[in-house]
Amino acid sequence: MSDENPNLTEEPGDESGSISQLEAGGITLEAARRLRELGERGAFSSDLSVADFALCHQLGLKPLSQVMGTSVYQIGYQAPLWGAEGEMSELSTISAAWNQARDRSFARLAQEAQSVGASAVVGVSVGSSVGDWAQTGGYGAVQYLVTGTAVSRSGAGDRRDGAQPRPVLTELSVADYAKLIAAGIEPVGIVAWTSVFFVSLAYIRSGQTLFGGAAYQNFEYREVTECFYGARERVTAELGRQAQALGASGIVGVRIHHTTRPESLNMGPGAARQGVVASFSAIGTAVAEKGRSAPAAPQMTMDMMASS
Amino acid sequence: MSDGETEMAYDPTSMEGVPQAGRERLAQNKQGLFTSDLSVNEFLLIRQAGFDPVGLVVGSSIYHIGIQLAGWKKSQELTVLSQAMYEARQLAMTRMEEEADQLGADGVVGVRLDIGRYEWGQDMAEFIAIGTAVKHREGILHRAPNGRPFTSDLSGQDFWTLLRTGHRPVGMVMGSCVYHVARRGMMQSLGQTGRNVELSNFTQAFYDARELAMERMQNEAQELKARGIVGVDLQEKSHGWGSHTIEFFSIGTAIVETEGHDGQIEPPTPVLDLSN
Repeated sequence: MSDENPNLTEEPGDESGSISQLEAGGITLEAARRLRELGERGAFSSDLSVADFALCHQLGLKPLSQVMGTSVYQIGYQAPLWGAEGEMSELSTISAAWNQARDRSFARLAQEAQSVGASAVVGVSVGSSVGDWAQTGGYGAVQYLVTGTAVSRSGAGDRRDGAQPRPVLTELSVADYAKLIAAGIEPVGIVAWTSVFFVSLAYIRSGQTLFGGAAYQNFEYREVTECFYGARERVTAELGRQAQALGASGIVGVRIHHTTRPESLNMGPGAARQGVVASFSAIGTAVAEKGRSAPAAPQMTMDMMASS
Repeated sequence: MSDGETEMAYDPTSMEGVPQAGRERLAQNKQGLFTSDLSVNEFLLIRQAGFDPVGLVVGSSIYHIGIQLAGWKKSQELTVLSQAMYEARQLAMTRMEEEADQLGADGVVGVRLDIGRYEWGQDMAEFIAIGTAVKHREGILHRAPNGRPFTSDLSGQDFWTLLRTGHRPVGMVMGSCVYHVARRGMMQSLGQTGRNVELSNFTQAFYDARELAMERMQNEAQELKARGIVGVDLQEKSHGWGSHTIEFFSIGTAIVETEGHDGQIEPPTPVLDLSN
């Protein structure tokens, strides 16, 4: 738009400095610099829709900056599991890789928000993908990417006694955030966990049929059900522990993703175990009751355009 | 990067490239018949906000993207690709603004910026900007600080809501960066084999691409003397340029505060739809 055209020049960044920041779990030097300068320039950036912006405006939330956290993480080799047939165990390396990629992403999101003096991050969207970044064999790599808008809340500013306030991360849309605040309920942070379990079952293989008497019977794959329960219990226990640490009275807006699939687990050269992998992940926002104002009763409406 | 820049001059009277039928359409619009791609709800809300649609405005550019070879082991911006995205966008947007200007519009709402890439033309990018030009009924000027009609990708509903909060759009701002992510060195890969470890050079590449894109978007907003950016669409895509080439693309509407407007809005009423 300007005569020089949108500043397509790239200033040489301090690459090695940024890498060591990332290795320490931080954000790159360029990101830190831009966010520092943002306040001086006056204009905010956001990834809010207009409706979100209007709600923020109404609630007295001042958007400060679009913020991001990401981590590309390599999943290492899972040590072979020698448990008995039908006995489940956690694939701890894979669970840990997902949990660390997510933790690093959210830690970076929080750092970005903190460096613009935010009191909360709203409208957070979470994405993860399995990439082909590492051609090292094993289980490949995952990328976790979270984006949102850092906001400052008028009235919450008096919390600044001494140290900078830790921004409250949420996993809520702005509309949900607004509804909670209006009902006197305060989000206190994000809780999340991923757990991947394996159960060895030699007879399970996609496409393989059972022979003999069992083929004629209805029966539950009890080991698989247990494996799924194992992953789920591990996740819910962890969410509860995290919520308690945040002083929350509950968790809302939980989104759950789970898969159960047959897989053969590498047991060293030429050896593999057939079985089922159950993965369970959940993410939600921990909340605490602050006031005692009952949520406003919604007005009932009926859409006269609805077909049928 | 600065050589080969072609800044398209802004000429509000330019009819360059507009075919005969298009000229007739614009002449008709000037006489008071409006065309638009607004839905009925959008049309009514824009009227309610004190604006009248004056005509559907279009700008397009089919652009050839040059070739850039990326080093196998170097993370770097693919400046030729980034610049192509910028120039094609600017050509399409400027043509649309000129059309709006000829209709005496204050600005354009509901701009759709379609970026097409085709199987049959690996090196081609098509930019089409389509929107509805609007004009304030009482003649209060709502143009951008640079005198051009404002542009926004806001729907009629969003436009109405934004005005109620005491803000108005001044222009669409874009941040784009096409980035090549380096492969890892053999020694580095070997050293990390089989371990749970963050691939920090890949993480850094994502950060770099995003930083460049966001900084450009902020600079565009600054040029428009904007108060902030809303309605942002942030995408990370690969455009079929191979898995080690990524694009960070964000587009949104820059806004300013409306003079003499307190911006107070009522708390919204919760409703429960009983239709099903």
